[in-house]
Amino acid sequence: MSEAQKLLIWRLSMAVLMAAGIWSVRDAGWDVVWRSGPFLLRGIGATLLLTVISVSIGLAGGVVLAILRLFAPPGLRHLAIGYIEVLRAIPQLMVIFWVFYTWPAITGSSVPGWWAAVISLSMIAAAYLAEVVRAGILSVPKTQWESGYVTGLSALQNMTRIILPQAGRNMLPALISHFIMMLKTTSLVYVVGIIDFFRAIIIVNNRDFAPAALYLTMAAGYFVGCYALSWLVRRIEPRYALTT
Amino acid sequence: MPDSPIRFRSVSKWFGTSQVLKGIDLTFGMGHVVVVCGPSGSGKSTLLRCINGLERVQEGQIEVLGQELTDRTLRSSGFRAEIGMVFQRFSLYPHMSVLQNVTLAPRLVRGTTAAAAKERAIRMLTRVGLADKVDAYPAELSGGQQQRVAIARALVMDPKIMLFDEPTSALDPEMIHEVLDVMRDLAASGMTMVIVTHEMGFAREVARRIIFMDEGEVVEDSETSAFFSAPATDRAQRFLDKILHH
Ligand SMILES: Nc1ncnc2c1ncn2[C@@H]1O[C@H](COP(=O)(O)OP(=O)(O)OP(=O)(O)O)[C@@H](O)[C@H]1O
Ligand SMILES: [Mg+2]
Repeated sequence: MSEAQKLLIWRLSMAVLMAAGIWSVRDAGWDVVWRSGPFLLRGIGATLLLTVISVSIGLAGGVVLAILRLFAPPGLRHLAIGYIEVLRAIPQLMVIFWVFYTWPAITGSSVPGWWAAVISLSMIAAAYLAEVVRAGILSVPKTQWESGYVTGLSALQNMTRIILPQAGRNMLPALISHFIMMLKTTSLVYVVGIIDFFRAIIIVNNRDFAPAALYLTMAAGYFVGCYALSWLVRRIEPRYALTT
Repeated sequence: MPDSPIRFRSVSKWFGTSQVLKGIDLTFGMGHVVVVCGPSGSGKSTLLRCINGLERVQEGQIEVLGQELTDRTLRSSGFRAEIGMVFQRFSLYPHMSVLQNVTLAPRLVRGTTAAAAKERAIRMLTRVGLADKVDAYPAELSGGQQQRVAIARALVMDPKIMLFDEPTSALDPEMIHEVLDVMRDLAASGMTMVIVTHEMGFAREVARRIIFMDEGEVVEDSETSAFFSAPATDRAQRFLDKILHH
């Protein structure tokens, strides 16, 4: 059998399987999804917004943490290492609990749900992205740094003009996978009362009970979200070849 | 301007517990071209990198352009920019065009306007024969062209001293001469140069003095013609025999 024939058979069987799959859920209660459309879309909006905000803040924090971990004098460096290691070791839900419940208990002032969600997700993202940024910085040859130094660039100029642009390029694949991880981590914020996509699906299902249609919608929604985000990140990839 | 722009006084350096420079005493003359040679691991790069503070020493003093190298003098970006350096490889910024590579430091360090920096960069690129490559990216250049851009990038800061650490040893043979030609012109223009190289023909022709190092020591420091006709030490003689009959 030729390769082309194998491919054709493979495609046909996949098409049949998909048709069968769609057919089997034709009565799953799609009207429920349709009727709750605006509510679910708001949920998706909240999920995407939380992801983009927390990754943006987390990336800025991650750059600072990575630089501290790599170059700061001992005291500061160990603080950064401690933060990164602890935040990555504890359950993510615990960070949210800390910000939402423990912080007000200590300080006496409450934190609104959205603030708690943004702060805790950004803290989590910063810890993970710090390691991504650190690997990116270390991937830049030492001579790059030295070339800037000997022509008189300050450490800050060197970092922002020479090292970070190259590090950013090198860390793009890891950045995308962490973006996707954060998209899924946002589903934890229901504990502070935010109705994200995950929570929205659960609410609708509790009311109208259509698990097959709703959970399929959830899977599709997250899949499209992941896809859109990685497409977005890839678009900002600078176009130059890295081999000199 | 001091008559000797670089002066080493009993300089010793260790990496961990291994001593790589052992009590170096050296002076370099203004406008002189000095070639540093010696076997691999003898400390040539380390010696060179001490001159611009890329390596710091544990013992002794180094004086460059009349200033002793300290944390304070090296913090001055203007001072560092007086000492140009060309590395063996991986030194051009891959995410910038040739023009951006050459104009970056003048704009950031000297505050030169974009237009003036560009004009000067083009002058330097013309000098190294690459005026037509201003918009190219490093990855689009041959190894020899990349090294010539690296030289232009150093020269644009108008350095008083140029350091070269094996600028041709990562190049294919047919590209070596184009880089050496540029260096030859630079030497003729009166630039103070310290060059680590294994190109003995070039050294013989351009250098005023040869410093031969072995195991962290300056074993021989002679006028070029004396070094090549009759090295004073066996170690230098063996090194020359090996490198010339290769
Ligand atoms: N950053 C470093 N950390 C530890 N040891 C080092 C470092 N740089 C150099 N060395 C060691 O110091 C010694 C001298 O190195 P150096 O690079 O100066 O030699 P070199 O004469 O330039 O050799 P080559 O011809 O191979 O370039 C070597 O033994 C080397 O292994
Ligand atoms: Mg070397």
